[in-house]
Amino acid sequence: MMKRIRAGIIGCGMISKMFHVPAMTHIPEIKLEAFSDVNGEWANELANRYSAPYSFTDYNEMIGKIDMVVVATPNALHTKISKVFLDAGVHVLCEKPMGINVEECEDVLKKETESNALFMVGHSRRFASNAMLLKEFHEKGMFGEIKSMELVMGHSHTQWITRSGFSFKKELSGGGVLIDQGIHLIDLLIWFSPGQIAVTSSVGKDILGHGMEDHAEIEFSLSNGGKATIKTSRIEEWDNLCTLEGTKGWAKFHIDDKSFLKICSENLRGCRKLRHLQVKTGLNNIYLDQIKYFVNCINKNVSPMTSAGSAVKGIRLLKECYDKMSIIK
Amino acid sequence: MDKVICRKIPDGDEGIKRFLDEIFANGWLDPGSKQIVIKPNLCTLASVESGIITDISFVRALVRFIKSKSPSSQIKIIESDSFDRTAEEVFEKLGYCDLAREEGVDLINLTKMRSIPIAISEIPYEINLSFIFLEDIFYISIANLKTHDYQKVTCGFKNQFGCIPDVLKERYHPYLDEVLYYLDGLINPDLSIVDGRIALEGNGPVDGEPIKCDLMIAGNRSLSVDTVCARVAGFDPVRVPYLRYAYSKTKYNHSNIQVAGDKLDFNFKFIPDKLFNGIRLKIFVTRTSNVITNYAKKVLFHLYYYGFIATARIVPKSVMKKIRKT
Repeated sequence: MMKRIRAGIIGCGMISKMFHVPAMTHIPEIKLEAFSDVNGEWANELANRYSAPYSFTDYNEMIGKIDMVVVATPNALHTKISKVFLDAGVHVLCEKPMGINVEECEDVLKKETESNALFMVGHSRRFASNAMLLKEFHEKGMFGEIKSMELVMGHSHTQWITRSGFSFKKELSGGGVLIDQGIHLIDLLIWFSPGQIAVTSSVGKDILGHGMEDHAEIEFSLSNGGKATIKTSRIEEWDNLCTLEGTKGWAKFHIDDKSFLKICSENLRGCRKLRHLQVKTGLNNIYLDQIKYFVNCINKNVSPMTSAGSAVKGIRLLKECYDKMSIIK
Repeated sequence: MDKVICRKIPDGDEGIKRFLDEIFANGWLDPGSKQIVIKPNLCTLASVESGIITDISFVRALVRFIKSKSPSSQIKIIESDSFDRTAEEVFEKLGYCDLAREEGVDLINLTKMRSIPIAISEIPYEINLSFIFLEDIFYISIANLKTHDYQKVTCGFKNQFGCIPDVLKERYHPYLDEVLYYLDGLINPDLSIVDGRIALEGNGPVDGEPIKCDLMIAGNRSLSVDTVCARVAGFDPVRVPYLRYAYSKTKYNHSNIQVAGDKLDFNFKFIPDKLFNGIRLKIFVTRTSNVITNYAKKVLFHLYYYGFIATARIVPKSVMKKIRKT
């Protein structure tokens, strides 16, 4: 008989309600066991809806009742909660960002190495079908060495309103659009270009007057002499088309909403006659694929690709972006 | 200027050996360290004498020739499933399993391989492209010279149609001109050989009658090879729909092809003009009705879901101008 993983959710806000929990119900190996939120009503609501036996206002009470936890609280609490559960030997899937400062994230990294449990950060954009295929092609050397990357993500804050409203409270969010949406782009940049990356310029715009950037443009230099740019906004809805250019070809892909991959490579016989190929990759449920992947890692006891070690790199780069950022009002 | 070899081969194995030597001397059979992929025409279960499928003895001769030049070369023979038979069935019944065992080649069913859907703006369906065509391969197409009721003639371009891994390939038939052009672009054969020793005339590509022509045609550009094949079979290449489409897309000068070898002219029997025109009309009606149906579906959905103003945005500007004028 299949051994089921008892799972818990900490933080019963929008992301849990809309994505994590529905995705988990599609995985037969997972048994939804407990929900926790400081707002007991929210925890009860989800526990009743998904027939989970437990709901708590204190996440510490979950220990001993679950094998795996999804941490989907405001950003400032991610590291503290993750450490508690790693100590208790519970596998942790932590929402992005891993934390709001480097020191706390390094503590989690230390805990992860000491613990038998696995830790993964939910950098869900890696699981988009076009991003996965692009990574596969890139690893086959289709584009050669990356010389330029432009990553774009602009979603209006009115399209995604958190239940707690934490994203506009700096002490809870740790920053503005860069830590919220930009962290996805930073993660993709590290994923595709794993060498040394340095921030060359960082500009933020505080448009809504919360003392945080609502629009950010960051330029990076890559270890091979290449350049990368990240543009993110929570004011405007953009056509989030990203570009990757290498020594042997290029690729264009949508970061979300639309799923395709345009590729051109001197290694591809199809590109010798046709200018480029447009692969229709299809929109997939990235949260479902992410949780499937994590369960697979647990079953095989292998470290996930967005483990603490990989995610800390992103947080270090994020800190460098903030350190060098000049805010324009 | 593209070069095409066109040879009369009345003397069996010896003639084939000379023909392959000539291909090699032209530098068209130099795969280097790449793995070699051979696509014979195995569109149905039929005898070699029917002229419908590739003669396995030629495939064997080609494999032996390649091995004699480069003993370590890796050779794969590919085919895909269709609605009435599997590639494995075809390989087994047409003797390719024995050939694979004896000559040390691999048989690949493309339907069972991973593929990616390629979107083409001119075609309403994606073309699934097998991952083998994303690898560094040397691709050899071995087609038969046949008439085709939709296209007048079928040779190298149409042989690539068997590389589509879908079981139901028929959905592409109304868009054959575009599909054949883009498939040729995606697969881009390194060597295109057309076996016309026993060709097929009349109501091809399956129900025609075999005609002994004893000829072999080859080149390293499929468009020039197919152009020469159309001429040899007695068709004006400009009046062959898929060739006309390819010429228009590539601005290809079809009169500027150097034909090395024998000057051969046949006049293949074909279905009556009235029937061919009727088939083309049927294709036109199918395509038009598909366009209208798909557009109507899109507009009605938008109208219901987003309302009138948002729907007006997806109406082409030219149509909107006319509406405003009236």
